[in-house]
Order: sequence, then C-alpha cells, then structure tokens
Amino acid sequence: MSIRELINENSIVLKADINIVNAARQLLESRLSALPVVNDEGGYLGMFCMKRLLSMLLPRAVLIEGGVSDLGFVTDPMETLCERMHEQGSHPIDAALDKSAPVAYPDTPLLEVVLHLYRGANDIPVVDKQTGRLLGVVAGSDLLAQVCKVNHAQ
Amino acid sequence: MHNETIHAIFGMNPLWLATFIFIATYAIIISERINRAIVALLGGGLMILCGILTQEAAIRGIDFNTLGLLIGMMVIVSITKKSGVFQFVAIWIAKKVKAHPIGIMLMMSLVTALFSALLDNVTTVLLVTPVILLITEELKIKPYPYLFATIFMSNIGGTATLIGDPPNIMIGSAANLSFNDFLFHLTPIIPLIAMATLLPIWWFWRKDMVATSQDRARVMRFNEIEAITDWKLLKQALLVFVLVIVGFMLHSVLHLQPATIAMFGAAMLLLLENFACDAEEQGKRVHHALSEVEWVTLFFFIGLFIAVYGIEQAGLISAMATGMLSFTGGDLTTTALTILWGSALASAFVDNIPFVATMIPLIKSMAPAMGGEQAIMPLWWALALGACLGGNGTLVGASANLVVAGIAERAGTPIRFATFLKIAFPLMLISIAISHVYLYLRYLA
Repeated sequence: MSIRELINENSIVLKADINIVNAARQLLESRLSALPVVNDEGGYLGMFCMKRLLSMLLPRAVLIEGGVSDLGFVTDPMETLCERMHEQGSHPIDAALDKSAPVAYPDTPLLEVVLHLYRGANDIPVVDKQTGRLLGVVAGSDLLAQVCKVNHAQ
Repeated sequence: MHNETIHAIFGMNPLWLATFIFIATYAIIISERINRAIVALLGGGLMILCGILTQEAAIRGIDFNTLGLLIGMMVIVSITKKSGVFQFVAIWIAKKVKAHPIGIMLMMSLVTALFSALLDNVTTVLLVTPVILLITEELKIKPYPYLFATIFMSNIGGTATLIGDPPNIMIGSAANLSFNDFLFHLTPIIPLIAMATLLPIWWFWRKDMVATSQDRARVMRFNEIEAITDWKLLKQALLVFVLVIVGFMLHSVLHLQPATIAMFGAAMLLLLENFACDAEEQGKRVHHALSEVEWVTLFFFIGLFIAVYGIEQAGLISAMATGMLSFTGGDLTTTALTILWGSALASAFVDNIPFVATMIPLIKSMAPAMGGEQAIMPLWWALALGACLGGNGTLVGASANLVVAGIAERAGTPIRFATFLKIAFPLMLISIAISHVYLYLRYLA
C-alpha cells in the first residue's frame, strides 16, 4: 500500500485571502488540529495549525529561542488572552502559516509519513511534486485505522 | 619568562614569521568569516608547527588560571539558573517600583550591573533580556531603552570586578591582581559611569516610558515566588555562591588562585545537586552542567594564549613595548591615557579578548623601564577600563551586545548597527572621559 490510497481528497482547505479569525473559526468547526492553505490555483502554501493559534495567546518573550522558560508567575486573565488574539485576528492568514510543516508527495514512503505523524503532525498534506498543487491530506487516524483493519483481516 | 632559541621553519626569521601568523590570525578573527575558536587554535597551532614555539612552551603560554576561573563560574551559573532565582529577582524589583517604567529601567539596570559584576556578561544578559521583553510587552511599551540599558550596564557592571568580564580575569591573572584590588581600584568609579550612561537613555526615551495603570497592574499581579522552580537548589547554590565570593575576597590570604576557588565551588555545587540522585540521573545532570560551559570561548582563549606567547617569544612584544615607550616618552600619564583611549577605541570595533591578550605582555615588558611592577599599576586599570567599557561603543564591541541584539531580533524588535552606534558611541566616549579624569586624579596627578 502507498500513501496514495490514504489521501483524503475532500479535506477542508483554507484560501489564502481569509484573515486569522475566520481561519480559526473554520479550524475549530472542523475539529481538526490543522488545515492546509492554498492559493487561487490550488497551490499548497502551508498549514494553519492550532499550535500557531495558541502561540498568539502567549507573550512573545516565551516563544523565542532563549526566551522565558516558564510562565508560572504570570497571572494574565482571560481578557488579556482575548486582547492578544484580537490584536492579531484581523491579520491575513499568511502571517500565521506554518510553512515548515512536513509535506508528503505521492511517492513518499509510507514509513516516512508515519515518522512525521509520530513527531507531532496530526495530518500530512500531500502535494504534487511538479505543480505544487495540494492533492489532499493523510490523517494519522486514517493511517492507523487502515493498519488495524489489515491486521484484523490477517 | 622562558626565552628559548627559536628554530623557525625553513630558516625563516622568527620575528617576521610569528608576526605574519599573528596578524593573519587577528585579521581572520576580525573578519568573522570563520569561527573565532577555529582561527585562534589554527594560529596557535601554526606557531608550534612553524617552530616559533615548542609544544612545552605552548603549554606554558596558556593561562590556566583564566580558563579555570571561567569554567568554574560557568558551571556554578548553569546550575544556579535552573532554580529560577534570576527571574525572581527581576520580577521582584519590577514590583518594588510599582511597575513604573522609569523605575523598572533604573532597577533593572542596577540588577544587570550587579549580576554582571558577579557573573559573566553574556550569562547576565541571557538571563535578564527575556524577562525585560516579557515585562515591556505586558506594559505595552517599547523595549529599546531597556535593551540598550541592559547592554550598557552589563559591560559597565562587568568592569567593576575581577570576575565580571574576561579582560579583567586575564589582567588579574597575568598581573597577579586580587578580587579586592579590583574592588578597591575599579568599583568606585562604576556608579558614576552608570549614572552618566543612564541619564541620556532616560532623556532620549522618556516620552516612551509611560504605561497605563491597567498595564502596570498586570505586572503587579506577577507572582515572583512562582518563578522559583527549585527551592532546595536555590539554597544550595546561594550557599556555594556566597562561599566562592568570600573565597575570592580572601584568596591572597588563603594563597589560592581564583581559579581554584571557582573550580572547587563548582565541584561542591555539583556534589550538592547530585548527592541524593542515582548514578544515571547524576550522569545526566553532570553532563548537562558541563555542556553549558562555553567551550567555544575557552578554546578561543587557548589558541589565543599560544599565538600571543608565540609573538612574545619571537620578540614582537618587546619591540612593540619599545615603540610604545618611545611614543609616550616613558611617561606614565601619557602611557596610561594612551592605553585607556586606545583600548576603548579598539575594543569598540574588535573583540577585546585578543586585544587584551596582546596588551598584557606588552604592558608587562614596559615595567622595567617605567619603575617596576608597582609603578605600572595604573596601566592595568587603564587597560581594564578601556577594554571593558569600549565594548559599549558598537553593537559588535562585546559578546553581550550581540546576544541582546539576537534575542531582540527574534522577538521582533531588531537593534540596528547604525542606530546603536549613534547612541552608544557617544555614551562610551563619556564613560572613557570619566575614566580618564578618575585615573588622572587618583593615580597620575
């Protein structure tokens, strides 16, 4: 089996021209942890992740390399978190894209995809190598379900 | 000094060969195209391979007291910082001034200078800068005055003590100057220099240092006690730290080098931290503490000490000393003030460590012509003040400056070279002018 058979071609996709608040709304409605973002031609641009959304709620001083290592002493209330989200919410989604998220191609070995999922990605976008178009998404849960199904059949 | 007959490779003139190797090493270090530790080690290695130094002479050239002191303090700090004490102090003082932006700048500057006097500058700014960014973000104010003050105060505070800045460690070790000598001769002028530096920063940014009561309340809600992550470790670290500082103050009475005290303190703290752990955990913790030592800096020192010993043995240093003496006419005042301003200007643009490493044997070799070791004491203070404070002149003048700039850049508040130069260079000149007057009135008038 190759990853072609695991690609979900009907996954929710975000367009590059929406802002962060609207993208966040779609992400939360989908109940997924990340959604791929494409341009008008369907070219893959990056992933819009829950982790990136959460980072907007944190002070920048903890997000940088060598920054503050814990926040046990900071008692910011919910209003401050809302304020931080509000400040960045109207920005275009491009500012919140994870462009370094792992990407698979139709010929990527299955085990490589498993490794990316193991390292923390919940869904891996699959992209056409030549055109850069998004073909769909391989979900960790689909892959595991397939493994269990085959195992059970044997 | 062990002067030996030099048999340079291919019968070449050792003086010219050593000079060429040294200048090439210096030039490549300044160009920053290759890591400075690699360049210094290659320069030192070439001194041996080209026959300028024997392997035994090269080992003699390495100042193990400087290395030991640096390693010991780095280990102590790497363990201590895990307790969260530095974060605690920063938050505590911010709350003591009711989170007022100007009060925070003053108190943070004081803490930075104090930490820097007792720890190395880079460690200090690594600990202080993230907390400053957090507090200024909570106050919704520009972090620039605070970042600039952190840079200046780390270099100014580091000037105050034997252990505050690597040039002082090198000078103290080479000239046999104690912790108390630095306290007695350098520390008194530091508060004045600090004030003369902070005042213009406040004046320049005073309109930006305003926060709403709502934002100040947010900082006031910080719970500094929660910043302490390990109380037991904190107590152990403070105990060792106090003992080490007392040891430094008494080192001439104890007949112990500062390196011995720092290394013993590091070993003590490692023991206290690991005493109750199993072998596997001990392995992990010791590995972590030792991996925090800045080995790049230490190997840079090793290579540099050998390279400088090479030019010393080849006769370049004594030739330079003769040149310097004829330039200043052997006059102590002219020599001291030339060293002060020359060191400051050089250290503003090039790494002060190789500069000081070169100046130490130069000053030592001038001693006989200027009335002996005791008579040249002002020259050491001139070198320390010039080399340490000169680092404030530009963004590349000291490692701490670049560390702050790096953290600031990652946080989205970049510090530009030209912007920094415009503010920092005049402030550096002011600090050197104050040092000039101080040296003149105290030692030269």
